[in-house]
Amino acid sequence: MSRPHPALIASSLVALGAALILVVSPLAASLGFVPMPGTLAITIVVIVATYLVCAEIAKHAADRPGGKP
Amino acid sequence: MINRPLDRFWSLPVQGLFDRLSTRPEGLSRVEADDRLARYGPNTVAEPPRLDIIRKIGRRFAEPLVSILLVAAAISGATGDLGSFAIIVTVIVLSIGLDLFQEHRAERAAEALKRSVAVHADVRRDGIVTATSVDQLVPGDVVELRAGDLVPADGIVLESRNAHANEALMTGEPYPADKYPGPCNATTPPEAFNALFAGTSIVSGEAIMLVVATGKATRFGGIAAELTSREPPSAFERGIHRLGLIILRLTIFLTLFVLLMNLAFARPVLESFLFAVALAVGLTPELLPMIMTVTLARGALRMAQKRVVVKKLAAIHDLGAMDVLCTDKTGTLTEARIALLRHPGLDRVNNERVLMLAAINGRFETGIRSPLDEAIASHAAKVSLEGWSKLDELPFDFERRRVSALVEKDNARMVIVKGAAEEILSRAKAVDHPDGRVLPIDNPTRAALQAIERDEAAQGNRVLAVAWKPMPPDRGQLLAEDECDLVISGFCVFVDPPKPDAAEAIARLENAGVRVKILSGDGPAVVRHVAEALGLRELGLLTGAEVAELSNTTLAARIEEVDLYARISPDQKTRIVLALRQRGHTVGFLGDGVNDAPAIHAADVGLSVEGASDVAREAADMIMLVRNLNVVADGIEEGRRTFANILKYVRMATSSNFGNMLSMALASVFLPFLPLTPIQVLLNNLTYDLSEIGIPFDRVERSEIARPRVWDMREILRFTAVMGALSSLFDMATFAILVFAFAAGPDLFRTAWFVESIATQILVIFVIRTHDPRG
Repeated sequence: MSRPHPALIASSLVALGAALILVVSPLAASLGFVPMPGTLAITIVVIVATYLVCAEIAKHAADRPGGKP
Repeated sequence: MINRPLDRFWSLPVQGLFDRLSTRPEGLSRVEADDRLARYGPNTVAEPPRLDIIRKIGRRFAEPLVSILLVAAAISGATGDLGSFAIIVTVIVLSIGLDLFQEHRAERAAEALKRSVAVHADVRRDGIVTATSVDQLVPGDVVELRAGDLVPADGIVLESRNAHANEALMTGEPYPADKYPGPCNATTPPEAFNALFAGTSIVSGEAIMLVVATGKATRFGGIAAELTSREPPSAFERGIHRLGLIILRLTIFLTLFVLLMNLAFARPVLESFLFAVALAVGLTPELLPMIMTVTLARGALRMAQKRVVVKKLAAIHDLGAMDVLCTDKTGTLTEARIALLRHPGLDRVNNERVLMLAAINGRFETGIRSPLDEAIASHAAKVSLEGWSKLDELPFDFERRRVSALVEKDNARMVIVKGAAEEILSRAKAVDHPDGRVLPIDNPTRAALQAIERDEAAQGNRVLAVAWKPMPPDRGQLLAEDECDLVISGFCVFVDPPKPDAAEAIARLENAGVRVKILSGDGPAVVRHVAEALGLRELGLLTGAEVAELSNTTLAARIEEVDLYARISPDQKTRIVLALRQRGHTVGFLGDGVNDAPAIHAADVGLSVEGASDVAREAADMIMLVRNLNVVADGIEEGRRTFANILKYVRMATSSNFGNMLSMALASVFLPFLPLTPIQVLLNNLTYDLSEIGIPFDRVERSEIARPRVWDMREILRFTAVMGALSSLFDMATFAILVFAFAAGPDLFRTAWFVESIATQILVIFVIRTHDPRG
């Protein structure tokens, strides 16, 4: 397993951070965002985490059948 | 300008041309040249790429989707929603700016690399010969050309030493045209023996040329440039293009579907339309061209650090996909420093006369000095050549494979011939005996001479024969017919030791799934000897004569099991490359000689080395700055890395991004409101694009660079099917939880959905980036 390059970590987290900040920033209202209740925020974190785990498992399934020896 | 009146410049007297161009045989001064460069422009046929950035911005805005979006936003602005309009315009400008900035920087870096290996010409400036970049040439320059050089501009021949030019570009004929100065009344360029044209090349001899026209004023430069640039797209480019078309069709379908459903449910027309278009924008992998350029340029920069300069970015993929590498052995597999080992006469004892004759022949040779001549010269440094002078010569060419010089000392004239042993032997009728007598060759003598050559070759040494013949004192010119009835004096035996690191490099290439094939002009024994010394997994050998007997079909059938090719002629190299490609291989060809250019061009990856002939370097996609196969092995790793990183972007676009947009389209049908506002869709797309900027820099798995990588559409579609479905599944779960568990209204739904989709879309890169095609 190779580790992700710092540049990729940076670009991904900066982009994600920017999107999340927009959602809670003073600009949020003009973009149509509203504050989320805490339970909803936690639910979303759980959904995202589960998705990533499932994606890691599904990736191998997607790669294997008929894969070149 | 001076263009029209000089249409048939070759028919004007030389002095007239000097006057008209206000120049002289010593060439222009630097000041004059700078002045003319400003007046006539650089010696290139392509437009200078300065205005490019403005054109690119224009092109981005003119893209149908972006313009539709802008128009729709403007309409919504005019109907009162000015805030949305402002935000949409900001998002589009940011997206385009991000895209352009990255791409522009990458292209500049790639361009700078390409310039660093640009072809130079020997130009007389201020009376001194200086290597000058070809694009700096101006009318009036005096240029010195030698075999292997590209003719950089149109002009007339001031002096020639047996200069021959390849004018196949104009005439379609492969035979070199004789070039010499003198008055000429020809009406068409091919007949103008005293003129040289940009885009042709010097194949043998040397010439001094007065430049008459440069850049776009040249007759054929444009054709030549077009010929070299018009190359069919590589398998990778074709794959990306096909994928683009599939995505485009899906986008159109999905957009129309969303629009239709929303209209059927009588939702607000303008907002539905904006939403559909925003979805289409989100679906388009609009960053793909930028990511490709940036990744390739980044790969090119890394390869430059490893001493491979990429001239054509797209060739990086082919390098990664390459599974056969054809190379000559001299210089890449063996030391370029060839040493003279022996100079035996008939009795196999070193003979001073052989050495002297070889040294005289080599000393007066013009044109490309071969490493063999260098070896003779350094060995014969103490041999005095005083009193000898040269009257004429017949330079080396690949058909005759010999060099002749007509020389004189103390009023006695002789021709000295040096070249391939069997060629000389077949033209000799006498032999120098060690005791000084010249005796006719009888059959036993001929056999003895052949045995010397054979024994040396069997040890992997190169052998040249040296012969001579007295000439009448009134002969000042040498003709091809004079190379007969020779007196053979003996042989020069050279050793070209294998490079110490070549064996390791070959092992590395084999491990990386790249088969090395040797295509050499040398004899079978020499080739086999080198292959053994390098531990090449050899599987048989074909000689040029045997290849000539085979039809293209039989050659293609034999080619898999044969790795060594000896006594191969230039056009056979091209045949072998094409036969390999026909078998489905991605073929690289590494060459440096004048005669290698067609094969370099025919290969998927044309490789040459710094210091190679102009024509070879011009034909190549990549230039190695050092002659070392390890550099190629490094380059291959970079090529595969680049491929792997582009594939990451493609996988992201096809699975994660696509799944997201698909669920958004479906949700818009089942929800009583739009799942995201058009602005939120665009914002989602912008942040997603931003997150991918780091991909070109990313590391890749060892397994991804272990084997040649080719574009596999089935693999991508399979990946898309699995990962896209998974992504949609989770979106649907979120959808259900939001609607049923939290009873979310439009604004809360959109906020939560936005956060979920952007987080899954961005973070999944850390899953997708590691991927092992073998499970």
